[in-house]
Amino acid sequence: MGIPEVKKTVCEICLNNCGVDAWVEDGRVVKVEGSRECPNRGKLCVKGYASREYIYREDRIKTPLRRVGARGEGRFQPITWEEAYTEIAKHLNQYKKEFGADSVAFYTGYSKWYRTLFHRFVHSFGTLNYGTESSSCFQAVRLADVLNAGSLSRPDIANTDLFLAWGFNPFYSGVYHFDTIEKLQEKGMKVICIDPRVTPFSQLADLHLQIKAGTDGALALFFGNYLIAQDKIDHDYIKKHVHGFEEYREYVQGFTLQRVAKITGEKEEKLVQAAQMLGENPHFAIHEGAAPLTHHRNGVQNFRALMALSAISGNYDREGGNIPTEYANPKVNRDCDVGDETFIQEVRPKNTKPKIGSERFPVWSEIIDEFQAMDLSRQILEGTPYPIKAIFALGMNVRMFPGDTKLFEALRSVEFFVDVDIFMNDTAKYADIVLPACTSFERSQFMGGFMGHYYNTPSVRYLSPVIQPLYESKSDADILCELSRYLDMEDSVLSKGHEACTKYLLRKVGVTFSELKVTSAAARIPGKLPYIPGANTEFGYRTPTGRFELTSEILRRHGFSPLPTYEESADEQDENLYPLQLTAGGRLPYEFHSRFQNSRWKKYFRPYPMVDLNPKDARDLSIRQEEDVVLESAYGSICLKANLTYMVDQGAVFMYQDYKDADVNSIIGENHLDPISGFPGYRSVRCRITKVKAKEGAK
Amino acid sequence: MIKEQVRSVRFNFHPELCVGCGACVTACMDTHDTDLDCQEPLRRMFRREQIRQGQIRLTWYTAACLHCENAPCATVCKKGCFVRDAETNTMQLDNSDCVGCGQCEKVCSFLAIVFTKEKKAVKCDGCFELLQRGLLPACVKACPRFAVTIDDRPAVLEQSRRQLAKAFAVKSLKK
Repeated sequence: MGIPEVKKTVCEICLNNCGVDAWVEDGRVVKVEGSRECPNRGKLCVKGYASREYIYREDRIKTPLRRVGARGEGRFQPITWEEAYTEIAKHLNQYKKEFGADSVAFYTGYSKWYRTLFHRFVHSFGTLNYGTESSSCFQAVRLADVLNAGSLSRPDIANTDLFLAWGFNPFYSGVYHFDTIEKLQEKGMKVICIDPRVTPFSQLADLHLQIKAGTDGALALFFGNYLIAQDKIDHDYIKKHVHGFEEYREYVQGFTLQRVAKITGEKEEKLVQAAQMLGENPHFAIHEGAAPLTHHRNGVQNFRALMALSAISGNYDREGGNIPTEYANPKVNRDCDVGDETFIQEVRPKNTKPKIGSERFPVWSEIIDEFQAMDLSRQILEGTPYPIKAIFALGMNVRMFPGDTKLFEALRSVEFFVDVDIFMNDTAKYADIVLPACTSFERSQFMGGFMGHYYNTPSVRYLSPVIQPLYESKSDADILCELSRYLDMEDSVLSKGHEACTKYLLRKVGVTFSELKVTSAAARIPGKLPYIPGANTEFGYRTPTGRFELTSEILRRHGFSPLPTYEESADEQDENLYPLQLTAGGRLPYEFHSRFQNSRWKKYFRPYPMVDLNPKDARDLSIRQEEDVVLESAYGSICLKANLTYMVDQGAVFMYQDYKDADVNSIIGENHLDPISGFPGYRSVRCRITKVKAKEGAK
Repeated sequence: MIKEQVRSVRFNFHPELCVGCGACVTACMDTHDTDLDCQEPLRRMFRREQIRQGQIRLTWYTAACLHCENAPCATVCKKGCFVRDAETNTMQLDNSDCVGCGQCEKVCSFLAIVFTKEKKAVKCDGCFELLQRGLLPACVKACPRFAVTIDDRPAVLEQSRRQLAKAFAVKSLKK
């Protein structure tokens, strides 16, 4: 072993952006470690340590490709970048000319780092049809937050007395957060974990409520009822800043201990214990997980019910509570903002058609500046209200969509489809042109905006590549900038390239690009201080009433219940036929979306698709560990193996998504959606499990 | 007279701290270029589930060589594959003479020995090359909970050995 050079980059397998020390020798990464100076403090997770396998995997797309076989078949012919760009530009501009810019849908799956650029790119092309995987991740949380108080918010864990770890398990999705929590626990902070599974984190919490998936809203309303009855509420804050308190107070009275114990399946004494802890700790912060709470048909309302607790207790926009990040008044200190929003909106097109999904999901369309991708397949296949001729996508994963066979069908019928990806996957096999993207190790990257929150001080960071891009791959940002030239979009910023875009963004930040480029360290934005809680409240929230809306006037206008009402999230199928509740997509530490499906390293942990089942339920069904079973819903069935574990409660089954040979989303109805957000109800689907008899096993 | 510092290493594992995140396993694979088509990782993960008074208790273990003082693997190996490295005090395995008899695996209470497809014994080398440079072994550095440590205090060593031997004697361990 020679002496490798240690170079700094970030791991972008998930969104945590953990700093990586890459050991590089002869242009190859030979080992990875966590960066000590980054928020991950020298640690990486099971996925991050697998970076090397991720970078050098055999299924990397090596050159631009043109499809020569049928859609989905996977037969391609290598072409040059020049040919690819020319062909894409010719087609997209032709559709734009003949059918208008709105006939092209632009979509991105993971990652997120280039999204500001991509959103501007879409606007410059002339349409609002910009969609992302946030149609089923993160944006429903924001939607619920915006309906309540006009802003996304985040828990101020560092200053709180009680942390409501609602659907929170850092060991599976962001290990380094636990370090902070453990230290705070030692100083006296209490933790209530609310999770339908027993997890390593739930075992370390002071109290674990193991409620049935999707019943979070009922639990929150019970807490609301308790806090009001015990007079543990902030009268002053409610009087000045809350709208609809009386209606809320009346509504929560229906959520009695007995009723909620029955709905959630948790013991009465544990619910009381949790409520008492809330009453005793006036400063509490609520974890706002992106997916677990909103992947239910009642997801947005459940989430609103959670955040209502922050309002009635006066914890909203207060130290140790939940802190808003978007402000109504421009005078409020936007601490981590580097002008991304202006960058996107200054080229916003006028006279466009309504975004995809506007008719079906009007609340989403009004609030979220993206199309609701759950309506994409319908619009392509039905051609209403207007036809979609082409899709330009980055990292699209069809298996993410419920009832995904319909989207595959739509991709077969769309006239032109471009997909950019690191790996050759089933979605890319449908594309007419496939472009090879590179990993975070192979590109330069500007980190600003909300990234600053990871460093606790407003900061920006610029990273140079640690190795050259493999094969002919390019960074997503470079692909977009180069393509903008071929499209003649007349966007003078994008067409100059990624570096020019970074300089353009930095011009108002107060750090120059040349200063930033010389170091891989995060640079503090000069003169910027962290946001001081309470500032946003002073000016009023960005809601119709300017207050925290326990009764949302936007929802009322659209004919939805304005209160954070609770309804059951599971589908209407017969409980006797489908006695178990399937939760699809619950995290496993060694999986991230579809990214590790072909990873050999992951296969050590879970070599084949498995459904997690309680051993008691398994005994009733005479199913043993790793036996072949059929998982069946009203929409279809898949064959896979059983994994018996007490981590899941009786009556519940958990399964990870995106497996090619056991695709759980193919057995979830395409219309099993939250009507407010359009979010799929992945986590509450009625199902049953049967053992495969020997001769059927071959199927 | 100045004595050279010996980089002596003894491994411990503390199951009460382990959360089964798997970071040590991939960190180990990354450092050792483990080819999973050929063998299992040198550090492997197991889970145990118990119910005590209606309360579910999950415990995770990761297993790899503890580099024991009086290592039984070295005693039973007829080919003399196991050699103690004087500087680091780690037990090194040179499997060029290994005949795959499996005796070492049988006597090890800590599930440390893994066999390759070619029936050659392999095991944790304590990240020998990193130790020589004065750096921490990969698993020790990776663990977010300090469940894998190097600590040669007899009491710590003894407790670790006792806990692991007891846990690994149970047949119901799951991956």
